[in-house]
Amino acid sequence: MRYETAVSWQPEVDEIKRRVELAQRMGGPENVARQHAGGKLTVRERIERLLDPGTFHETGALTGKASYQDGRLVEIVPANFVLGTGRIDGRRVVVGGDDFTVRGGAADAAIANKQGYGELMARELRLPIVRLVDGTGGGGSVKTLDEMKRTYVPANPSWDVVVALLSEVPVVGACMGSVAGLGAARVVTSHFALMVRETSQLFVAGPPVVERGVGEQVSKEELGGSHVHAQGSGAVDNEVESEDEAFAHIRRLLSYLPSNVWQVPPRRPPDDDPGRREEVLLSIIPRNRRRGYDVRRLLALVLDRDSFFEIGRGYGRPLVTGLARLDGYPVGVLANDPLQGGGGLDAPASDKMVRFVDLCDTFHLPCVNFVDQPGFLIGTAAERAGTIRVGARALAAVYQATVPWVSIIVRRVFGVAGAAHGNAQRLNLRYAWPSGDWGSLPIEGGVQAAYRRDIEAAPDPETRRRDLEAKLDALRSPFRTAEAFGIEEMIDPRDTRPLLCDWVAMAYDLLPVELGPKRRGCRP
Amino acid sequence: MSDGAVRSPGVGKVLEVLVSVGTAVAEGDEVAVVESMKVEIPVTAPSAGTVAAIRVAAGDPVQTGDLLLTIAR
Repeated sequence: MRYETAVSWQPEVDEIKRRVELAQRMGGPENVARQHAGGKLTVRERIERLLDPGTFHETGALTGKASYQDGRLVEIVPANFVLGTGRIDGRRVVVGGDDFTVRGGAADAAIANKQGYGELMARELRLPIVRLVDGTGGGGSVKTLDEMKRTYVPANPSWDVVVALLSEVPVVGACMGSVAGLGAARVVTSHFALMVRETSQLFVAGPPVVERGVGEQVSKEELGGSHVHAQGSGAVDNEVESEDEAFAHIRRLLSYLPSNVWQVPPRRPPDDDPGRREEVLLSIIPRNRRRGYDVRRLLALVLDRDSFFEIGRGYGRPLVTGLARLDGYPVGVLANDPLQGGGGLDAPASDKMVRFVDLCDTFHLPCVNFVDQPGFLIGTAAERAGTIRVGARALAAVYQATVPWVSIIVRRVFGVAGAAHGNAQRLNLRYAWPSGDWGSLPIEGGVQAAYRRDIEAAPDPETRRRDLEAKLDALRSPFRTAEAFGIEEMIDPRDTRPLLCDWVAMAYDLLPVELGPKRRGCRP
Repeated sequence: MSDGAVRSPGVGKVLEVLVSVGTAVAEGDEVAVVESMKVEIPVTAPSAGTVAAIRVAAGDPVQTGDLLLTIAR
């Protein structure tokens, strides 16, 4: 027995354990304390809190810069990227995060292509990937120049995989600190990106580079704080108050998505009555066409209780997008918000629509569109923003989508943007509420355009215009459209939820034969 | 992050300003109405305070994000 112990590999096994423990120290107590003082968690704490407890399985814990004395290890500084798999609500994911406590997460402290290995894991194991980016995310630092004694032509590592992932598995980019350059690109090359208020910033280049390059003096918060991107630029989707809220958002988002495009989105045991008919829906749309209403309240009344997870609330606000459940089945939800610019589709809202429709189409999430669309936003500012081109891309996204799609026309459908509420060349399943109001363009301005000569020739042009408007307005009833099968069904608004819960079961029956990647690739 | 600025929720015109300089408002109080794409949009106070300045009057054309008025805490 003694002899066998002597030749076993126990010393090396002990060494593995010792080195795994050393890696837990990250950049050392001082740097860890500094990270905490900045109101941030370390990468290992983040991973622990994101995943189901105790499920993290690390890859590459032994990777580090070692120093030896007489052949014995005296110290090892771990690589500044922590990688592995774990579970979220019991479902496996790949997670990788920069360790800011080691050289600020910059490339010169990276070792081999650990990050790229994580991307490959996600692709070949067909698992969702969560990137916790804190630092330059593998991007360069001028210090590299000093160490290498030469420059290099920049290349984005593993970028073919990073791009391909978007068409195959859910990708989440979490901006967890001051993130520049390649790190910023990694955050936004995702289906869902978020930032933590005040402790994270995102930019192409930080304040010192900006000052030297374009002469602007700005703080990093002014330059790339979460308000800049989540409430303006649209570079990230959601803004959260704390890192824990970030993990909650990521876990929630993934709960609606399949692990990859070859799987059906996961149904949850339903916790709401599919036959629920809400009285309020009968009067939620004001009879006065000029009055708006709370569209999020409408959604809450129809969808499974508390199941709506909004994506991109602060950007492209005339369009509300999010994931939700109907009788436990995940669906994509689009809705126009009449209280934001009247609900008119502007360039940012069109951009938001492209990304959202592509997300749903990629992961085979059936879509429900609550339509109250006055048309593309009009006016000089809208023209200068290129609304028609971005808007046409939104149209293209709807027409390229092949997921089951249903529209609930709650009020207006006007113009080209209104026409894109669904794909008119397909079944274009839809139900109109009695408040339905539609046309190629609104009567008010349209009369002036179409009957100009008639109006100008009249003895009292103003009266003539009003008479014409009144005459045409009388033809505006949606019942006349229904008579001509121009709208297939008009419904009691209270029946919306029972109808949708019935539809979603049909939609999910179709999905198993529709799985796999789309011919259209996904772009950030 | 509220800096007390109340901005237009759309492009269109100001229908009504419902407060004057010095009016005390609570968060969520309606302070103005803007018409955009033929919808009347109530504009509410993002925070409680006192109206410090009013930059528009009824009938003024506005763009999305234009400053309507400011509220001081």
